[in-house]
Parts: sequence; C-alpha cells; structure tokens
Amino acid sequence: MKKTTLYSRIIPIVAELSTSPSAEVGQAVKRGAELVANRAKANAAPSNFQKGFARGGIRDSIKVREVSGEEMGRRQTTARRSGNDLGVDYGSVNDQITYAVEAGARAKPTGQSGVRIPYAHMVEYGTQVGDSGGGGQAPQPFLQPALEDSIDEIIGLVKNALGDL
Amino acid sequence: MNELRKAIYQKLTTTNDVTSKLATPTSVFHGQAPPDAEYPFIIFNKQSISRTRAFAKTTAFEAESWLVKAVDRNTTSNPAEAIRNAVDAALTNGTLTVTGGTVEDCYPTGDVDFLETDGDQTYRHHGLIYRIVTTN
Repeated sequence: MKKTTLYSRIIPIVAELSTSPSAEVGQAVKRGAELVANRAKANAAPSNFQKGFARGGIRDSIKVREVSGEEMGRRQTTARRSGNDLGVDYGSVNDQITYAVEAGARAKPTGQSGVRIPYAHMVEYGTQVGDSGGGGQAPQPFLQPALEDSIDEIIGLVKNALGDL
Repeated sequence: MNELRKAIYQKLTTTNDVTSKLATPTSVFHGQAPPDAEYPFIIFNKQSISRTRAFAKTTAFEAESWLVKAVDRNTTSNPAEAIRNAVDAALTNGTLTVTGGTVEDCYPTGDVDFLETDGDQTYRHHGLIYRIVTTN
C-alpha cells in the first residue's frame, strides 16, 4: 500500500542552478512544505469528508517529513522500473535534502480484524469498497488542492532565498 | 470547467486503444462508478484548479489537475496498467477540444497506484494525475 505523498519538485529545479543549494534555499523549501501541510490539514477537516472514513485521523496524520536525496533516487528508480517515470531527475540531488508532505493515517477496515492499513490515499483518489463493504467513495482530494494553492508562495519563498545568495 | 470534463470523456471513449481494454466502450465514469459497473473501467475527476489572472482582471489561464485511473478487480495489475498506459498515450500532449476555450497543455505530473482489498477480492487502481492548462 502506498501512502499519499506529494514531493516538492523545487529541489530538482534548484539543483540546475547550483550543485549545492544553500541552507537558506533548503529552509525555504521546508517552509513551503509546511505551508502545503497546513492547507492540507484545513482541507482535511472532518466536516469536509463524506461519512465512511475515520475522518479526523487524516488531518491529524498530515506532516512534513525530511527526505534524503538518496531516497528520492531510489523512488525514481522504482518508478522507472514500473514504467511510471515522469521525467523528473532526482539523480542529481543525491547529496541533498528535500521534504515530503505525507498523510499516514491508518485504520482497521470495518468488520475486519488484523493490521491497521493506510487509507489517506483512498480518500484522495477514491475507492471501490465503502466502509460498510459496499459502494465506493468518489475521490475527496485534500493534498493536491493544498499544493496548487501554495505553488506561487513556494516559488516566492525560494526566490527570496536565492536573492540572499 | 465542465467543458474539460466532457472533452476528457470524449477523448477516452473515442480512443480505440483505450476502449478495447475496458469492460464496455463506455466504461468511463466521472467521480464514481455505478455499483453494478463491470470491471475494468476508468474513473476520472478534477483534483484541483488554480487560476492565473492578467492585467485586465480576467482569468488568463487555468491549470487543472485531473485524476484519470483504471480500476480493475483482478489478481494481477496487468490489465489496469495496460489501460493506464493507453490513457497516457491518448492524453499526454493529446488534442482535447473544449467549447469556449483552448487546451494549451496536457501532461502527467504524478502517478497513482494502489490496491484495495475487501475480503478475498482485490481492487487495483492504476492511473495518472494530469495537469491541463486552458486559456479562454
């Protein structure tokens, strides 16, 4: 199961400008990720979701995680092997840090015992099986809109950081 | 815009390489499939939108994110992944005709791949997030 994750594409862009972005740029990217996370939390207010999910759990699970360039490189390799390469080259940032906004909420499927499974991606992208075992849910995106609403501000943060170099 | 929804539906249901892989030629649903839909099928819906305004205080262009995914109930991901690839070939840099606007760009920005289990059944979701830029 995949967790729902959005990765900043700022670092690869910055990597083209310099092989060693400054700490200021890294902090700007981190602040941008926090901006996305806060907006995603607002989008993930329980009242915004249809019934059928452990709704409050998603909001509380949204966080910013530091991701190494090495991990991004591994993800790129995995994506290529599965035919999902989107042409984003993370290979040049192996020695750098970027940030991911993740929603890692887990819950036991209704009526089933056993492990708690991630379900935030099912809220973001929709399901075929409802919480009671019948009738799926249409997608209820909370991460993608948060990213779209934040792009201009993130670019502004990075511009300001680059201006300080 | 609703016109974009219509354009995506039109494109997918008139591309033979896509429809030939679906349960029926019209197994393309906006948002959610009906409960009795046969597998595999396609679900598509708008995930987000951002508008850029110009000097005349009108929207210069809109960038919308659309999720387009194949859904199959199967023990293998191969059919759903084949549909995903056919959708990719049809939509990426493809021609989408919308009334009252122009599609300037259509390209994938992310992939969506996950499994959903219900008892002994496994549902496979394989798709892409598209960024579609339109001007008025």
